Amino acid sequence: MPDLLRVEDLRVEYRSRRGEPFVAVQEVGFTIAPGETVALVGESGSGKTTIGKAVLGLERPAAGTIEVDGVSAIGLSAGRRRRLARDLQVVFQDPYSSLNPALTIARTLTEPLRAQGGFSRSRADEDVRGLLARVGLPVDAAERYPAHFSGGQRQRIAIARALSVGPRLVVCDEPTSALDVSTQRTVLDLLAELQRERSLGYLFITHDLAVVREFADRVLVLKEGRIVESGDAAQVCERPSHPYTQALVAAAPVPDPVIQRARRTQWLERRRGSAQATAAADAMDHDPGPVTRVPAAMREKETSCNRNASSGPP
Amino acid sequence: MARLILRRIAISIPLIFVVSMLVFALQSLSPTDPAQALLGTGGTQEQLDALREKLGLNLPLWQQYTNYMAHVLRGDFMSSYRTGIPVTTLIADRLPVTLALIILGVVVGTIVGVALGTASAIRGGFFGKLLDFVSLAGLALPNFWLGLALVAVFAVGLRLLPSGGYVPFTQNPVGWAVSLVLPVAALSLGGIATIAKTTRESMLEVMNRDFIRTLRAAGLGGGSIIWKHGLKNAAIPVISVVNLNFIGALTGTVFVESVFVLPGLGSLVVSAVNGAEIQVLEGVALTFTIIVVIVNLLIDISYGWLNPKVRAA
Amino acid sequence: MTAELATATSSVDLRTADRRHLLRRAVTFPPLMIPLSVLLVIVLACVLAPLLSPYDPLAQDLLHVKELPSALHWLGTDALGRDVLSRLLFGGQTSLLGVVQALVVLLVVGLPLGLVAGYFGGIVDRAISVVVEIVMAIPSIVVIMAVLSVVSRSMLAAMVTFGILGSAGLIRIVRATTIAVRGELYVSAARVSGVRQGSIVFFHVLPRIAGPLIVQMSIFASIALAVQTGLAYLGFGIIVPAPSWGGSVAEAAQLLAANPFLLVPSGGIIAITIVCFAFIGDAFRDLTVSTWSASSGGQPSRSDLRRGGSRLVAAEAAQSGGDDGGALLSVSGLTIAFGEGDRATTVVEDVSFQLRRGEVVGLVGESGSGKTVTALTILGLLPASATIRAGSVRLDGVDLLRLRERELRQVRGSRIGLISQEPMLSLDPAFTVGNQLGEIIRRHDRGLDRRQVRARALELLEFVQMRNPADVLRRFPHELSGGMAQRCSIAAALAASPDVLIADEPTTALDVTVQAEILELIRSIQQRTGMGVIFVTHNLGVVADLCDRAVVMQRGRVVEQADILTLFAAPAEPYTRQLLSATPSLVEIPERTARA
Repeated sequence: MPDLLRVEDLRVEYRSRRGEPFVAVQEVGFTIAPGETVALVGESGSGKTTIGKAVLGLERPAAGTIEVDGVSAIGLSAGRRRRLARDLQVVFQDPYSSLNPALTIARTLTEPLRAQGGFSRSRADEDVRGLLARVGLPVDAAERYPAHFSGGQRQRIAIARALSVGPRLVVCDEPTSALDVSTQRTVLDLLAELQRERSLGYLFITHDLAVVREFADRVLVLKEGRIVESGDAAQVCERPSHPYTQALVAAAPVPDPVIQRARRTQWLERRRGSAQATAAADAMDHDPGPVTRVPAAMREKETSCNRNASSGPP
Repeated sequence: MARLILRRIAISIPLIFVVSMLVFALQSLSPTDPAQALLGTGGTQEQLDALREKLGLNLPLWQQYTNYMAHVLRGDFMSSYRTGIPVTTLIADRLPVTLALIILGVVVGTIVGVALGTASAIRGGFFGKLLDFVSLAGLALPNFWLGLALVAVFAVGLRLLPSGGYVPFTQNPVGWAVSLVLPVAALSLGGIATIAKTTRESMLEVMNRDFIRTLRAAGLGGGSIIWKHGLKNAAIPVISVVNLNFIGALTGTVFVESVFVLPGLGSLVVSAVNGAEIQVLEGVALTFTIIVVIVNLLIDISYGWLNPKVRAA
Repeated sequence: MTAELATATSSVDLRTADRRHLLRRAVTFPPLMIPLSVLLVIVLACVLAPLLSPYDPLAQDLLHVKELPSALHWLGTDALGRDVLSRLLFGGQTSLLGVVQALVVLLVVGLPLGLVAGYFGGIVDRAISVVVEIVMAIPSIVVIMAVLSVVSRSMLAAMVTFGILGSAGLIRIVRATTIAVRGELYVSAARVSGVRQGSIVFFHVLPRIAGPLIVQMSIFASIALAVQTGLAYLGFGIIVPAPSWGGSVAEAAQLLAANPFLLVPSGGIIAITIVCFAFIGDAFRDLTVSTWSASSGGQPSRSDLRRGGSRLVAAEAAQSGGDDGGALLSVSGLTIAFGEGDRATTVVEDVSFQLRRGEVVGLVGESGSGKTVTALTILGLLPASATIRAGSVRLDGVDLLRLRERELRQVRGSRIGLISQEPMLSLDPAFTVGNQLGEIIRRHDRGLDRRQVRARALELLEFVQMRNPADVLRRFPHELSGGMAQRCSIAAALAASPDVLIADEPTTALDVTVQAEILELIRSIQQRTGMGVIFVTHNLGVVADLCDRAVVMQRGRVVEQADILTLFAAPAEPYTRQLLSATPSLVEIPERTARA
């Protein structure tokens, strides 16, 4: 049985105004099996969002393979893209921008189905009600506009939309980064339930290692477009082997003062330890110099992933 | 920054050609025969033919155009077929009037508009209502009507100011200023309206930004925050509106100079159209276009000064 | 404005976000319906002029010239005894027709080109943009005049020309909106689902364009009417003695000395029509904004720098809270509301806590908890729509809430400093780092000369462990990375050596490794100077890392406060426990698993 998703030797470039194109992603390869969650973890500029977009067909790779269920997902015609959409869907990070404010929830939820054709009004109503119930929203939400809902609710609507065509693989691009921590827990629980029910595969893009540890099966750590480490999520988080991963793990604060105090001491030692540490700190700070080398288009795509709970209404 | 200026100049060259070609092409559609117009009613057919040959009217249109542009690049805008007066003379005589009108109009509009917009943004209340009223009036009252209304009130009614006519600066500076008060007022109201509105919106938006709060938290006073930090950032969209205002003011001079009988380029345009003097029209078109180019360039430069992100480009 | 403040101000409006369909709403929206009705009356009156007009517009009555309004002639007569009202009714036909002609051309040319340029991008976009830029710079009046010199009687030609030249502006706006919509995530989602391009344009792009489009068209209609009447005033485009609005103004001009009244109806009808256009545009914009977004159409009506948050409503001066107990900063019974009258919502209620010297206190909560509002109140930096209902904020015994703006300015920066969430937005983009630091330094120490100010600025940057401080002073904020910008903000906050530092989510927008550096920086600064720090955050990991005590807030109230070890090991309140169990952790936390 072929992998649900297979990516091999992926390379994505962005054109810049002068000279060389900017290489956002290179030599990236991984697989996802049905019912499995693979996380892509990295800081801003790591290329994780770009990989997600390439898989979804929103960016065209310069080289490499992307196969969903053994069928290539690159350079598809409109018809084939539609067919692929039955298996591949997305949940985005920003709940405020992922729903069209001018359309009712019902209209938004039925959009993927409409695109597939053979759409009937009566079945649609039923579907919408079913979807809303499944994600825990009241039925009367269907006639409302997105403005009426909180960030967490909107994210659940986005999940419902993704589910509407019965996909097998869902790309989750930082789905909880913009949510409060309690809402995040609810949404993650919902995603986990749905995975168990339907054997969904998730490509889970995030900057938060703690979430990775609790939610993902396997993880790939990305730095400046390359994979520096990959493996079982729990293992990588507890015993990282690559220095970059180790730095990420060491820097992430743990919600327990006693444990965190010990970790902080270790982190300080690492840091003070070598000249390497200052160099690492330099690199970490992403000092772009007087003129940044990262083209604007790229910077937009890798929006700072730590935008978090305080960015939305309760 | 240099890149920006070069780009502006690069755009301006096709602009000048497009405008001159447009006007020239329209001439070819005109029903009046220039030779006939020059000769009047009393000419013979041979004289007509000879004149047409002399004026180059038998050449293909594109050749006539290149001939014309060759003259222009040498600084010769030809002469009016009807009056025989060189166009450059006409324009040179009238340019100071129009320039005075436009520059004063836009300067007054900008100063009053920015002041009103800022006051409304910071204090609200009375200034806010005043701005709403002024912006509505500026939009709703066409400048020619406004000019007439001002004349009715101040010239005919109160007899404070002249109802028209132009006094050259060299002749009598005070008279010059007095003769321009009402025309400038009529021309600038529209500008005051749009600039005030844009300034208010822009100031409100800037005042709500994080860095204003940081500066206040650091103890900086209201004055510096509003006038140095607020205004410099808020000015960016306002500058584009000032640009549009200049261009709009060019259109306005056509009407305002008519109302106030000012001997400027605007009224020249009207008489040129009425007399089918296409050379004159062509000359004024080129002059206006050059004015627009220079203004755009100045605006681009100030935009670069205001917005450091642009400078690096 | 941070998101939390935006939340507080807009939460009032979330309740009223309407669910009715846009059109249905439009019909019951007075600001739209009134001008629309007036405009319709005017249009109908002019269209039905042959039926409604009391006199033939060309009929001269030399016995009744230059008359003021009377029962016979409602708007008076002109120099040839013609009835003004009739002339205006018939005149409106040409004027309004001219506007329609210009609008149609504008739309037909501008909308498709703008959509194509914005949606498809690439070469097509660049070609269209270059053409637009050239056309926008053309002084349109000369081209219109040139057209008129060829066909001097044809208003249609003039209006079509005007429409074509004006479409450049519309293309720009449509293009910009299309590009903005194209970048929205819901369009990406549609593309992933394989929605056809046409459907995307029709269902996603066009509705979002409708608002700005109608506003732009209403502005254009106003200008078109002004230009059309102006041309008619000059005698172009009409055949005298046919009536026209511009022509009526010209006739009024001739009578100016004798009977200036004629100016009123001729100008009045033009003004009223333009005002209708303008109000319709505004109303439509407000309508789309309020139906489709949570906020009530955005901006506060003024930004009052005098005093953020109006003074205490009730004179609660007598309420001198209890003994501060040697606290550096003492917040007591703070209650804050946003909004007016019965639409007011309380965002902070009865909040009390203390900050001692050398202590780091965390204000912890999710969005809507009121933590940022509380923090900003200390410095008096709330927006004008906030009202402080009760409470006190005492710094060394002085209640900051009762100080006037001028006195408060003495406290800001020198006693209390602030760093905010978005480092890139916390600095003025129009000035260099050196310029801003210098200004702040000079504010607190006016006697310094330029060299001393610069030396102090360098000192500050070194204090915040900035590599290459001299170079940073020369840079603009957009030339800094997130971490560097945050260090500059911290330097700015420390410029006058305050005793208290308020840190409002300073690391939320930073990468985790940079966050660790900044937290360490704050810790080391705090240890070196003995400052008290109030650290606002939603991240419990950060709280565990940095804080000595924490105040947990939920929906404006303090739920629990305790020292850090107690709070994590033995939280008393269910909400605190819920927060702790919901927070994912990189490392297994034994007590928690046991508790969960």
